[in-house]
Amino acid sequence: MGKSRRRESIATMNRIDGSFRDPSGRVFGKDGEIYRSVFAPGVMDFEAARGVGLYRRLIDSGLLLPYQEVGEKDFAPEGTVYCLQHPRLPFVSYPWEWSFSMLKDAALLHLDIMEQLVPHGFWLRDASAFNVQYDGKRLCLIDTLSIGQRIPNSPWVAYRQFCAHFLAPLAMAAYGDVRTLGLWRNYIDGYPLDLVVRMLPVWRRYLPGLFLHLTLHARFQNRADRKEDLGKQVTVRTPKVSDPGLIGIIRSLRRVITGIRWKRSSRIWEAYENIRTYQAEDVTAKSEYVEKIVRRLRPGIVWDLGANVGEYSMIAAAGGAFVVSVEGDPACVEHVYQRVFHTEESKHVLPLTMDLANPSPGLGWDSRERLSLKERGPADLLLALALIHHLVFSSGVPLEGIAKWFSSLTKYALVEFVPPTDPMVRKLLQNRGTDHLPYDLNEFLASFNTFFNLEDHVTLNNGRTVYLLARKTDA
Amino acid sequence: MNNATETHKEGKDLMKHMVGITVVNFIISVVFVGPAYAYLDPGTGSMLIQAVIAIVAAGSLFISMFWKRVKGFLNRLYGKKQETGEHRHDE
Repeated sequence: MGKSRRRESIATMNRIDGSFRDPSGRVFGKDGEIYRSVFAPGVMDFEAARGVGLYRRLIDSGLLLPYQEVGEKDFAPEGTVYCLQHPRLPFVSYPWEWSFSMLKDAALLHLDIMEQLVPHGFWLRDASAFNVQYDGKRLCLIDTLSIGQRIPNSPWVAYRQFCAHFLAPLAMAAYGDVRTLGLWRNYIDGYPLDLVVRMLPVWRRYLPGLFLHLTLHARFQNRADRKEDLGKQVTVRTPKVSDPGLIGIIRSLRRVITGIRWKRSSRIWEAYENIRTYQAEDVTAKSEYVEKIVRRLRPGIVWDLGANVGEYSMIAAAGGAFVVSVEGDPACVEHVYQRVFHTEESKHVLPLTMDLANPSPGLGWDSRERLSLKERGPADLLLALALIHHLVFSSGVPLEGIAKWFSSLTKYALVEFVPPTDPMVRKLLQNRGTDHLPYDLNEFLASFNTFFNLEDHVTLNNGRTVYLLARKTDA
Repeated sequence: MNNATETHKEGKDLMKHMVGITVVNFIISVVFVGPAYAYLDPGTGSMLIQAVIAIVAAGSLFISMFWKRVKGFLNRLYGKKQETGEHRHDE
């Protein structure tokens, strides 16, 4: 019986997250609640950190996701010594969806925690970007069990992972191209350091911080990994790193990470200002309609697809929803991130980068370790404002395909139809002639009627119409 | 190779690599000792380099403290008051 229960829990766990690699514990879900089992190998570290009040301190300072010990649970997997319950995260996101600054903040969070742990004889056993999530208030470490007792005088065991998960992608994004953050989808165990070094401008490779942590680090790795040494006699004395030495490494990493800045062209920001004032009257009417619908439906989770600079995300968040604000342009996502996380404007918006014609797939072991966008739904309300004409004309997705996809993501949708006579559509079509997918109001209504009931609509002065759609239960 | 500019560029790159490799080999030869049976993985490299960084970090801390003292001494000597902004880089 124990065996079958274990099998079942592994299946459940796979749907929740990718915590199966860690022998010291596992995360699983039950009836919508999130639990973490502490197994025998993790007990010593857990008790020690709890004993000196480290968890309490980190939770109180907002660096660690809170937990509660819940005693024995019969549904916990075999071998559970402690069972912890965590608050449910509003939405789990992955580094291939993060903005530059979100990855940077996740890196600094790890270093903040390390500085608190080392003086108490503890450290982080992992430095994985997947261990950082947004809990609705701030970015925090979600993996309680990555805190462990330090091996005395040992180098940091997670140093390689830290450089591969944070330093390398940040350096490549800032000094190469920010779009390389999308490479995360390929390198889910972190970026290979030698690859990143080759991609950096030569002079950057030899700047003091990057030289040590990236260039020289990659050389050391390659030297140690030389296949010719296979079967050769080599001994390595693990070097000793004292506490001050370790703190020195952490501070050095902090200096390097802080110094990596993505310089965006100011032209982009001016353009955004113009967008905001463009057709102010229609923007107001649209905003008011979104506000009205959010007030009426009271959605818990809103997905704003094609969010641009997040104007409507902010409106939905002000109406009490948690908004996942998805946009393909990394500069827009960065802009929203700065607005949300580095000011006190609204804390219930999570801006993510995604090409909607190629949304996040399931990745990792068995393609189930990290979930696809669809598997992380459904949303209560989906916003697709000034989006679908882009999908039709730029990505070549037929209207029916869009309607079907939306119906797999949400219960309700607010979809804006931009008529073929609109200047924006005409611009998209100017080099295509008549050779394009069918696109008019009849085609739109027919496509969406298959999957949704049309509940309400508002037509703006510029001829664009916003429809409120409710998913058909049998669709 | 038969292109002159390419050869020149390669020569420059090679020189840069030679300098780098010399440094690495020196450091590794300091850290590696005696024979045993082992096939090292890249993780070993990540452990080894931390010894180097710890030394550099400690060294730069020492230098920055020393520099602060020199600056403080000079400022006292000339009766200047230093803006705090400049000190914020040193942690």
